[in-house]
Amino acid sequence: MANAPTVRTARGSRLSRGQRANLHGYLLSAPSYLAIAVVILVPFFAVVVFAFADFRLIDIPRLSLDTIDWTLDNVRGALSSTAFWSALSTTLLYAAFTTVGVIAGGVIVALAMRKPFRGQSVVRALFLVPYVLPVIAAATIWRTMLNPQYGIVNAFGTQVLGWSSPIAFLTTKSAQIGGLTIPVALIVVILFEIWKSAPFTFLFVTARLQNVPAELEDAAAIDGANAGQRLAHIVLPQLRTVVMVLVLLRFIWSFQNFNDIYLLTQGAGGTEVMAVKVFKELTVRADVGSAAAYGLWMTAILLVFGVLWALANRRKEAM
Amino acid sequence: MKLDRRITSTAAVTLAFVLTVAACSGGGGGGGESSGGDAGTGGEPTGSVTFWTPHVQPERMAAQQAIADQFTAETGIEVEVVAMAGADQDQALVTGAASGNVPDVVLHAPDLSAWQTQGLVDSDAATAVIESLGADTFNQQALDFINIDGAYQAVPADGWVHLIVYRADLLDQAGLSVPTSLDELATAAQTIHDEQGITGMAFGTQVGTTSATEAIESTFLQTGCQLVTEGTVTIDSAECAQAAGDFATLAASSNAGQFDVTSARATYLNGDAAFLLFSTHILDELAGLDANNPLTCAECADNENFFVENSGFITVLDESNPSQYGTTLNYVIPEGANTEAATLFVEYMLSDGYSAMLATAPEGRIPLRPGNADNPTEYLDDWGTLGMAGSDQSVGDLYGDELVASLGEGMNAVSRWGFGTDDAVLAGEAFAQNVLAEQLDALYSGTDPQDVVNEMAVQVQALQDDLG
Repeated sequence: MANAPTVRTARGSRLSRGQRANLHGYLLSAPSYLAIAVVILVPFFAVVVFAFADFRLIDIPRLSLDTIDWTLDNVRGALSSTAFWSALSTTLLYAAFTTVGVIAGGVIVALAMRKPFRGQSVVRALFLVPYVLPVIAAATIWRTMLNPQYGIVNAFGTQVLGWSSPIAFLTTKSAQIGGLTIPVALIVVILFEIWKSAPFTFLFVTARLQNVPAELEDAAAIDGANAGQRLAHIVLPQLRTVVMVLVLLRFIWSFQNFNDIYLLTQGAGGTEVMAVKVFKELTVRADVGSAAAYGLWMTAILLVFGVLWALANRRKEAM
Repeated sequence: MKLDRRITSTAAVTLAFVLTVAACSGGGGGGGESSGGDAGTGGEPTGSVTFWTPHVQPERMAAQQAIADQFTAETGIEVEVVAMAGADQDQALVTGAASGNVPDVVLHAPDLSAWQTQGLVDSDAATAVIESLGADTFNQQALDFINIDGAYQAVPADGWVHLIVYRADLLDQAGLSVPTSLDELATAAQTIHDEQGITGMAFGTQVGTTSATEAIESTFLQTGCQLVTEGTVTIDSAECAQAAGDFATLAASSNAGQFDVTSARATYLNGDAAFLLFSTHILDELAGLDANNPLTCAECADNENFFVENSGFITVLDESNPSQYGTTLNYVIPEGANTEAATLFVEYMLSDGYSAMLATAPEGRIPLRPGNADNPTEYLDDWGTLGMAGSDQSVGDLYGDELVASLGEGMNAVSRWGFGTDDAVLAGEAFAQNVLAEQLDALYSGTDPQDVVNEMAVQVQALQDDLG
């Protein structure tokens, strides 16, 4: 190792122009690698360590890799807990329904607003309001409107629709309607997410629609295709790629959503999704190890979905 | 292998560094700099004390700061009073402890099992304070609450109990006598609702919320129902099923759906309920002394004292089960705090500064250290004369000395599921996670109360299995 510097200089002088350019590139992009390492890789590494370590919160400042007692208790404890599985199924339901709702809502509105009409830009801007609104403001508006005592929804329901008593929308786990069991609070948080995120889909789909050549549709119309056929065979196929990307993004975002649910219900009424559960393990139980284990399982499950999606996508592209 | 060791230790250093940076940017408390007193040189304690208080209202903050300033003037120890509600304390202490930056004194409820399990609480410091002030000068019940694994985890300060407030005029109109059991209370509430068309009893009934969790324990205690007895979950007992049935009746007596504590209070103050289950904190509001919770009832416009004149109080509902729901606030000294200065501060807050501290909200802060060695009832006597909400009217002035006496005694009858026993952790977790309150849905939709408490037992059992 003593003569390393000389070797390095010698090698450096023999760099070709291309190699030097590459080195330049690496040096220039180094800060972003550093940032990624500091804000993503190292914290993730810490989560992995915490998930497999046997320690108390008070020990963390003195924790070092040499002295950690490794254990599988945290990850095993998470799997054997009924709360884990109920949080997982709630999360899957939530992610699936918000994804479908957000995509369908966004596409429908984008299609409806395709043809120019008077006041189109105003309607478009209004439709974006939920997406632009800070989540805390949006959640407060919903909480106020749905309040059992002074909310406008319950006032309308009891005074106009003739409900016998107000409904606690944000805390009612399930209600019987016509023999069906309806998860009330879960539906409300799903609707909230659809209302809040559909504009995002709308923006993407609108942008894509503007690039659909008008000639294609004109040609189909001349060939005698009606509006429904033009939509099904010309327009929608064009949207496939953008919708696939949106489905993936939306599912990942919904799967790990914390803000919206926590601000609306704090996880009450059967809306305790994985992210809320992780937070509660951390703050209510002060159990960092268990919270890390829950988080790690969440990542693993998300990874499975990501890989499945990538495989499905590749096969479609190959066809 | 050598290289591996170096990489791992570098990673460990980086890990520790990043954790510290992350925690510091979030925390911001002054605890980190206050370790000057740890040197233990034998001289005067130095440094400062960071004190987290859940009494966050501006008037109460100002009053607490004044007491802290007095302490600073006497000892030279600076005090930073930080407003932090109970739930925020959980979060802030967890992140603070991970970075070694903790406050020196935290005023907290007795649900200390989570903190104790994680080693966050300095029980030696708490025990030292209790012994130096004299364990026999404290309320025994309050000491039991914070006794985990045979050691005091905190120093009891003050507490409140639940009261059932009733409208004597409405009960007279309906020809009802004051109920003396949970069954009678439920029947009375239903009668009022059916005959007079207003809410029978307003109390925390919102599914899955802390309001409802408190209300469940408060009412279920009245039939002698226990969550857990010596490690066995007993929430499915016949007493509990009876209480659940009464709870359903009481909840159904609402005219306005499910309440949380805030809307329950507003309903009573609006004259729309005959009964209200609330903590002793209601006493100043009833007299119209709290500008944030004004009296809005029709009769109140002409008569400010309407509720004082027409309200009665039930402290012990059922003489055969004289247990009252209540809670305490306790001074917690976290592990890693400036122990010496914190000890002096807590001792001051429970002696010279005690009455001033209780005076910030006397109706909800009943002393848990009634007196000192010289005068065993000094602070309790003082407390009885303290004016509420900045007025010169004390509880005794408005409601009579009988209520003062029964509140003071009430602290001895305070009963909480599991606290002070080996089941404290399970009871604390069930409370914090609102396990019982999540099952109210089924109760409201007409499921048999026995089935509901059976399901409650299943959920508590699952929690017990998780805890191991």
